[in-house]
Amino acid sequence: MNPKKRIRSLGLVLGGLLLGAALALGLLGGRPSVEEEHFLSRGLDYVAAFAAAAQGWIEEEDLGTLEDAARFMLLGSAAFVEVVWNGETVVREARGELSPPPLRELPPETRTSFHSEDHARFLEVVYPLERGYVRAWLEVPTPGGVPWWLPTAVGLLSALGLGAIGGALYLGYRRSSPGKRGPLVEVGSLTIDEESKEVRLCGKPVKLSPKQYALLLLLAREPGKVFSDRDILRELWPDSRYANSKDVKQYIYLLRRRLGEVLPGAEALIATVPGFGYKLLSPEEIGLTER
Amino acid sequence: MEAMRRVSVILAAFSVLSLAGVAQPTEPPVPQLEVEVISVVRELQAAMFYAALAVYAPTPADQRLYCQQVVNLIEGEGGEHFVAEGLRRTPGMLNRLAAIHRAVPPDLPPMKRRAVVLVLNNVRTFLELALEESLASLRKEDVEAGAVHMRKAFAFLFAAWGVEVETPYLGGMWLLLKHLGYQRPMPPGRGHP
Repeated sequence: MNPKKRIRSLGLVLGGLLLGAALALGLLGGRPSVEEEHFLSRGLDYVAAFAAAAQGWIEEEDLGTLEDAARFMLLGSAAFVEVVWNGETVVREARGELSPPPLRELPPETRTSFHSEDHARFLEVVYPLERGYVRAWLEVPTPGGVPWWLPTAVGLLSALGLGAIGGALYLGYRRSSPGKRGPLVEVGSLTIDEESKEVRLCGKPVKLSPKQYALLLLLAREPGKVFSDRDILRELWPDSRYANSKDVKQYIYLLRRRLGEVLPGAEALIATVPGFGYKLLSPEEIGLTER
Repeated sequence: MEAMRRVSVILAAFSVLSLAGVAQPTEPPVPQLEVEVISVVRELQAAMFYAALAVYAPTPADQRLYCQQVVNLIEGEGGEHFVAEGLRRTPGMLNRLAAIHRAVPPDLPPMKRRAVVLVLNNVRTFLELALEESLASLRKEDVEAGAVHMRKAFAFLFAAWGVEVETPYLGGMWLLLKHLGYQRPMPPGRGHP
């Protein structure tokens, strides 16, 4: 494969991989991890179990036991437990300085949400009772949280991926547009550098006179298109009143011979279309390969 | 509300839950046998609460905390697996049962006495099985695996509590209360009926 094509392909593949990695990381970080989902599910059941017992204690007017049970929860993951009944707070126990603001309204149904406070992540479960609610904050184990480096990594990978793809596309635009005027015209492994006026065939340099160069460039800008003698005359000798078809034939002959000297068989790159004119074929079309 | 319903079914068996405590002194003084029986009932209720929360514990650390309370309540201070953490002092339900066994009134009719001893043996066996499952749960690193053992522990604790429809020869604490003529303990706010 042409080294330039190889670089281009590599750039596209690398860019795609980087963007894919960024997307995967973003998806992983953007939603609760498996551990966090598991914690949410169990945390909800845990608070529900406590709520069922709490309702029983409240109905039995055994608030001492309810307070003991709430305090006991603080020895584990629970950082805050609140029980509200008939609009009154009957239990409010919290770890350390934690003091979540009161709820503005009674929850119509079970509600869960994640909060971050003091470098810790909490799952809040609000569980409705018959005439109140139980609210608990459970500290999420550290591995379940979003790591600090994740947003940076996603941003960096995205930038690198976009850069690689952009670079590859730019290279492709510059180097593989044979029909357009630009610094480099490429027809398969035949390349013409318009800035340095260098021509290479399958990697080998081709020395051409200015007219031979101009003729090849004309044909190479629209490979496969048939150019008549008149077309060629108009482009190569625009101001000459004396140039004619014989000049065209001669330069076609000279160009073919020069190409053939560089690479045997390369004469066939310029094909004659009887009755119409000439066209340029790519080296690959006539079976020329890099040697 | 599904979780609430599920939990309610589990916890329905002990609608009156109370953590471990000692029966309130009344006038005239409650006989020591009754104090011990009531204490076992209360501790059994507490153990069922801890077992239920161990089943649903969100992390292995929470689960171990609740499992350990069940072990503590069954074994008591001085027990092989007792760990003093978050619990009031208790001699443990197994020791209390042994004390009850020794203190069964000698004047009970022979058939009644035999029934009481059978119930005590049942309760002791169920508590030993609950202890075994709780210890197995403590050895698990994964909460789901631990929860399986704590469900079994809960089932054994529930069997030790007993239900009204049980047959006389496979009874739990409920039947013992009935045989000894004691009332089921109520929370402090309500007092005894």
